Amino acid sequence: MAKTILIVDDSAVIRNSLCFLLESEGYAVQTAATGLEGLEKAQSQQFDTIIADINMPQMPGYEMIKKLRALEQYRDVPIIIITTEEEAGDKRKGFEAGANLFLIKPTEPQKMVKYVNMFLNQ
Amino acid sequence: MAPQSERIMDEPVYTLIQQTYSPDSNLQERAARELGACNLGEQRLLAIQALCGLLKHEELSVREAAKDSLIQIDGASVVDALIPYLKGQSTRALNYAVEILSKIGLSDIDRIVKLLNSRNHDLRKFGCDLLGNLQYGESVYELIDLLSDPHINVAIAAGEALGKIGSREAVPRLIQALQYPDSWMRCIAAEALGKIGDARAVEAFLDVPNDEETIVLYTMIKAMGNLCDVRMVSMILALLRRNAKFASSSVQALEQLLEQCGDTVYERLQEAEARADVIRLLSGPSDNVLLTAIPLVEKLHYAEAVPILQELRRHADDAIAAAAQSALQQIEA
Repeated sequence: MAKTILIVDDSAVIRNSLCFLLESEGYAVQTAATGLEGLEKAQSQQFDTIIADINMPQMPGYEMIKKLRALEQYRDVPIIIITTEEEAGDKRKGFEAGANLFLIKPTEPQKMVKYVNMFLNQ
Repeated sequence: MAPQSERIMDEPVYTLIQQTYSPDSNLQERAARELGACNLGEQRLLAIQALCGLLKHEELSVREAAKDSLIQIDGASVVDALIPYLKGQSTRALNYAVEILSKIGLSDIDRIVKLLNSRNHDLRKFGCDLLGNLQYGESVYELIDLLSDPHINVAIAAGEALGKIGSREAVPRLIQALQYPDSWMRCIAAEALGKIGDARAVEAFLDVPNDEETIVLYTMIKAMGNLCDVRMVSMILALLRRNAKFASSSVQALEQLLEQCGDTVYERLQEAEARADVIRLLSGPSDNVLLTAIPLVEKLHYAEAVPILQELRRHADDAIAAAAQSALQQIEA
């Protein structure tokens, strides 16, 4: 059974490209375009890893991650932030919200795959 | 605390504004919604300020009410009030500012265009995002300039915006951007060229180096579907033969080309002996590939696919089974 990943990003190009990249690695990938949609998808299905942007409509990534961490089923699931926000304060906010890794866009595609593989013990 | 001018204010609107500061979030939400439907008169600026403040609210429903009302109120004063939120002190408010300005930014487009010249790279990036979302064609040359912004995320945002606007003026610079060292930039440039659909992109795609990154090639294949040129058929097939990971995107692009260019693509597929490549996709493990490959086989009327389609008619996934049934009916008709 393939491990599952949820990509939450409002950029369709990033969403589709990351989806292709990770599906090519054998993962089952789903996507969401807003924090709220991401939260709803994560609640309706268990994912093994979540990759989230910060700046998104309706609900920012920080808030979505906080809400996910409050759920028993997502307490220990790896969450990766991928964002254009690069200030130290943004990074701190990301970790405080519950992210395991904070990557600044543009992240090299292969680096992204490497981190996901690392988290999912591939 | 109520300001001194309270006595001369229009009472119902002022009351609603005060309610937006209430500790009761239900009351705040209702007040926010009502403000959007009111004639705000002289209290317009106060109301806008109050609604902008609610964009940081803990409750999603309150934020959404404030957003809807600000969109309803519209106008240069709303744009003016939202611009400072793009500086990002509150992530929630920032995201709402982008969302609202993407809808009403044309009310004061000069303020948005000015963002492109900001010293703050985040503001330049948001400026690109907004102009792309607003599809504001008059900002094309400023956006083209930003393709060489020293901050890569600004350059990426400019490329994405040019694709959304569909600017043919940007094609030569986007073709240059296919050579940029950053792979995301190359992806965005390929995507934008596909959206613009200009014939000049064909040569650029045909010249893509053999060792280009998979993710960029994937984006290019998707873009090729939008470039109505039969030469794209051979290239898509070559990439598909080289890497099975391109199955789904290749099939989608071929279908798009078939729709747009019709018989010439069909003939090229025959010449390129694509039959085996396409039929092979029906035996792959991916449901996504099956869902895209079956309609293509149907359109191409490949009789050799009948035995596999008969098997797929019993597939566990209802959508795949239905697609196989439909393809069989068409091919056998």
